[in-house]
Amino acid sequence: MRQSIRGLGWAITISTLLLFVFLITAVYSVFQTLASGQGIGLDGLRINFSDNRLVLSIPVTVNNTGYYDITDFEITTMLRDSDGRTLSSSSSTIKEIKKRSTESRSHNLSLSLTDIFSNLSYLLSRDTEFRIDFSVKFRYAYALGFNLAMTNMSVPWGAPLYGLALKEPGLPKFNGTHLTIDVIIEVENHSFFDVNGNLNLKIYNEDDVYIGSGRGAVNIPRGSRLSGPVETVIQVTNPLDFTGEGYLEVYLELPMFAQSFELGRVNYG
Amino acid sequence: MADVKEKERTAKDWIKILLPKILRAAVWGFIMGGEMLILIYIAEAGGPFLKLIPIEQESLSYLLVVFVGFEVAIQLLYGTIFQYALSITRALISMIALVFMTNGGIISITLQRSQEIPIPLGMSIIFAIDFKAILGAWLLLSSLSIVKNLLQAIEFLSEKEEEPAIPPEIP
Repeated sequence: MRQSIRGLGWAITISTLLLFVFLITAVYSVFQTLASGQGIGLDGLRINFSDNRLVLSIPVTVNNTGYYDITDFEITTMLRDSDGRTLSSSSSTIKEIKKRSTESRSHNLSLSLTDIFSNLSYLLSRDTEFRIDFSVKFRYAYALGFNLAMTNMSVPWGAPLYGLALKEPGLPKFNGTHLTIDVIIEVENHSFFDVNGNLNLKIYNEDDVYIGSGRGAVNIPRGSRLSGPVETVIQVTNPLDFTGEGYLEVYLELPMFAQSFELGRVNYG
Repeated sequence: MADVKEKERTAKDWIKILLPKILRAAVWGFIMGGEMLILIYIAEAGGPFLKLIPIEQESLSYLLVVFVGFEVAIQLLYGTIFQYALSITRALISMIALVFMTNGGIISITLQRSQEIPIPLGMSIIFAIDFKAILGAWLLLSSLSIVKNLLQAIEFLSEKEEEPAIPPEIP
């Protein structure tokens, strides 16, 4: 019995020592890997915009310089509006990064502007801020789990149609078949993309009789205000109804948002 | 006959018997947590040291005091049945305390904006370590240690059954 107890004692002592050695080397190794500055590299945020989709792309490089493997490496990002509603979320996983090896992956967060603006139309005309939650989690040496989460990171949002206001147009020019009107709109594009669209007009005389409709092109480069009036050409269906006075119904059609916005009525003449 | 021997012992004899035990208890007490207690209570040394351990200082101090106390008692009562009883109790207490102190093997630290951490207002950084597997292994080894101490206690008692005597150094 004494020999059995002694054997058990030695087994416990050796196992405890091995456990401590493993724990110390694993913790040292993981902190050494992270502290080296090259362990987990997030090489800047890239923004791509195409087909009404905004793609935020973060190239991720994991350089495992430690003594043990990294497994189940997962990056998660969640984009929320200022009221906390989730706009988009995404996860990227690297199954395994062997010791002394490097793995790279691009983590993408995709946003459909059409979906966002149809649900949150205030984002068109109001500057606000988004919130990003970012987390990195992984297992080290198959035994230790690490999770680093950064929540409530603020990202400014610039409205593409900031301060949109319709002003009284200039006097219409009539050539017998067509009307040309300079529509004055005050708007600033605070967003990071160019706004291109059409201004659609319906013209009525002072007796509410429909005279005709037309359109003019609107181009507002990013970070700038609409320069000058929008020249619109209106085909007059019945020239006799044009009296030189009345009102316009103005709509802004933005193909990138797949919808038309009613800007309101404005008198002319 | 034994009584006669006891009566013959002088203070010098008692010092000879007890001093090694006290020294042994002091050394083992120092090894089994005393050095960490000293580190914690020396502000200059303990400050940076404690920052590395994501456990409250008070809880850690209590655990270490209990651990050192048990170790000293075990060493002082070496060669008696109490040595095994105390070892089992210590193993049980350390198992329960470790599970509670480490929140079942998941330690989480939340960093908020402060003078030392100049992160943007409203943002928070949460760092969590999950070491349930290590804690599980530690609990298993502690359970084995309890079994070992139980077996040692049984063996000790069976030996005493054959030769009933109180260890001479216990007054």
